[in-house]
Amino acid sequence: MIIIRHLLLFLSLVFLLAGCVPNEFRFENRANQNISQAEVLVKEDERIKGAAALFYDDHLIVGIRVKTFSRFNKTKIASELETSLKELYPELSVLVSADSKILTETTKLILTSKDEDVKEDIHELIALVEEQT
Amino acid sequence: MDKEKYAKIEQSITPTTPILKNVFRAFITGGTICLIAQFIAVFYMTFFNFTERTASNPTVATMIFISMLLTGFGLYKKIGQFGGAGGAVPITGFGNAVISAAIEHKTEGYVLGVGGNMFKLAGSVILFGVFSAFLVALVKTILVKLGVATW
Amino acid sequence: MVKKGLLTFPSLPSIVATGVTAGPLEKKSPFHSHFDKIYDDESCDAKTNEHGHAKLMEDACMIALSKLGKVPSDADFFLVGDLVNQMTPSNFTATSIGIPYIGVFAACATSVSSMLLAALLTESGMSQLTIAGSASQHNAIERQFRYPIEYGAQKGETAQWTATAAGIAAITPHRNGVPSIVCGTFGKAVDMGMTDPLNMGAAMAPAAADTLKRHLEGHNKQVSDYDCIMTGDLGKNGFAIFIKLVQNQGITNIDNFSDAGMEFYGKNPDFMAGASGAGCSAAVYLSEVYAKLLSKEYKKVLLIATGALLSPMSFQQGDTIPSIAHAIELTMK
Repeated sequence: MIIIRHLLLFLSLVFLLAGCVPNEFRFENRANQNISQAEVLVKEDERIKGAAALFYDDHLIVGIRVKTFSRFNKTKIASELETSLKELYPELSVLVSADSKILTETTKLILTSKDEDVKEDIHELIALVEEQT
Repeated sequence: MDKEKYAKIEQSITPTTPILKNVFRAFITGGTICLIAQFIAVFYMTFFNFTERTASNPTVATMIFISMLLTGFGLYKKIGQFGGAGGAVPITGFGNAVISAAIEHKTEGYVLGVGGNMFKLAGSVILFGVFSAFLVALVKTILVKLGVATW
Repeated sequence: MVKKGLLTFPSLPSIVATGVTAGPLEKKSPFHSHFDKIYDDESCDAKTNEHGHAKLMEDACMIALSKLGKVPSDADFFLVGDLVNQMTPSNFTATSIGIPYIGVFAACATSVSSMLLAALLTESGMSQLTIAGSASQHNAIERQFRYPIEYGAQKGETAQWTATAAGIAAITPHRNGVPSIVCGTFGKAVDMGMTDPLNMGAAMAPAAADTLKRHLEGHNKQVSDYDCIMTGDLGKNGFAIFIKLVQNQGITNIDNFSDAGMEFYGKNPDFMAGASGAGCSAAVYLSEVYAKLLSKEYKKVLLIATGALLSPMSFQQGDTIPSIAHAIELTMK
């Protein structure tokens, strides 16, 4: 019982700290595009509480985090956003995903500013999203 | 003395099942198991090429592996005694049902013992699991058609 | 005079020796100092739990015989029982021990029913030495009646924990200085419509109350005649119901009542309502109670072993749980 009590204490601490993940919007332009339009579009969507968007070459990759109670519709939100972004940037290949993996990986790509291999990483992410289970 | 009269005496003495306590314990136990599974899922997403969607498979396998170890070391029955449904409903409970039956019937040999009895308890979970999955899929299909949810 | 189900033994057959063995968890029992042998392994180092069950019983028999300085071939009858399908542990014990054997089944009441039958054989002059008793082994019995051992099912407060224990008595014609069997009562199967196999105490309590009433009326006894009236394995809940039923019969003084199952693990809540199993009552009766009789702390005791006559199939088919209780009266002069 004492072990269970310690475990519960530890877990509730972890619970509390887990709430401290920041929700931010990151936009990175490495393709000489006008990114403000995309920024407005993403930030105005009330269901989205965090995003990371990377314009690179002919790719636009966007990872989003949706609000808790919108999670049921997260794929729908992502595909809506994808359609409207495709309309804004018809010349780019656009990928929007509500999967947290895409969000973290895109953030990583933005933060590690080295330029080589980014293309490859983006292709990998696209493959991941399209992977069948 | 007739049966009704005895049933009255019996009910007045037998302690009632503490439903609130059991529900709370089940919530804590089930929630803790799911929290651990979430950590494992995040682990797979962070260190391997899994997305939220594809990470569920290795996570389930890992949870069943952990459940197997706990069952073998005789700890899962303690979790089950404490948590009730909270220990039985997650995938670990399913693993426990399969593995405990396998351990139990090992003495009768591998084919007729382990093979024949492994799904003694879990067999109905599989049957009704498949059936309820069908029902849930039906409900979700209707919800998607109505536009309330997406796939 | 012939009375239904009542037995008297004018020649006073004696319980000359006992053998009690128990599993590792039973070290927690307040009675453990009276047990003759406690194993460190739940299945007594045997290959399977069922073999362990048989070994538990066999060792108890050998201990009882060795206290008398006898070997198995000196005994005339072997009356034992357990709860496993077709009583295979008893059968295997009988095979290795080689005494003419009758399997006895009365669920957890086997401890008393086998001793009553042994007393009858002795009374009739057919037996100079009969071995009687019962055993149970936690893993083998739980598997028989409930879920696999390692399955994490939640058991409620009224559930009971099958004890790993065996209690064996060696019964001979009357001898001085050892407890004797005075009389006994065979119980009627009582079914009060209880269906919960995790609350067997409630199913067994009416049988115990019925047998107690018939024993007291039939043998013209009072509750106050006894130093101790001990039921078999009613557990905390079943014992509380039993006391209520006894009080409804107009018996107010219940100080000398106790329950072997409830006391077996010292009311430890880890074991829910207490111990159960054919070995539970046998072990307590033939260790603690027997020792107190020998030391003359008790002069007269009434032991009412209770048994729930269910099978896993019968309750799954929705049948109620019939129960039985057999009573035996021991004295020490």
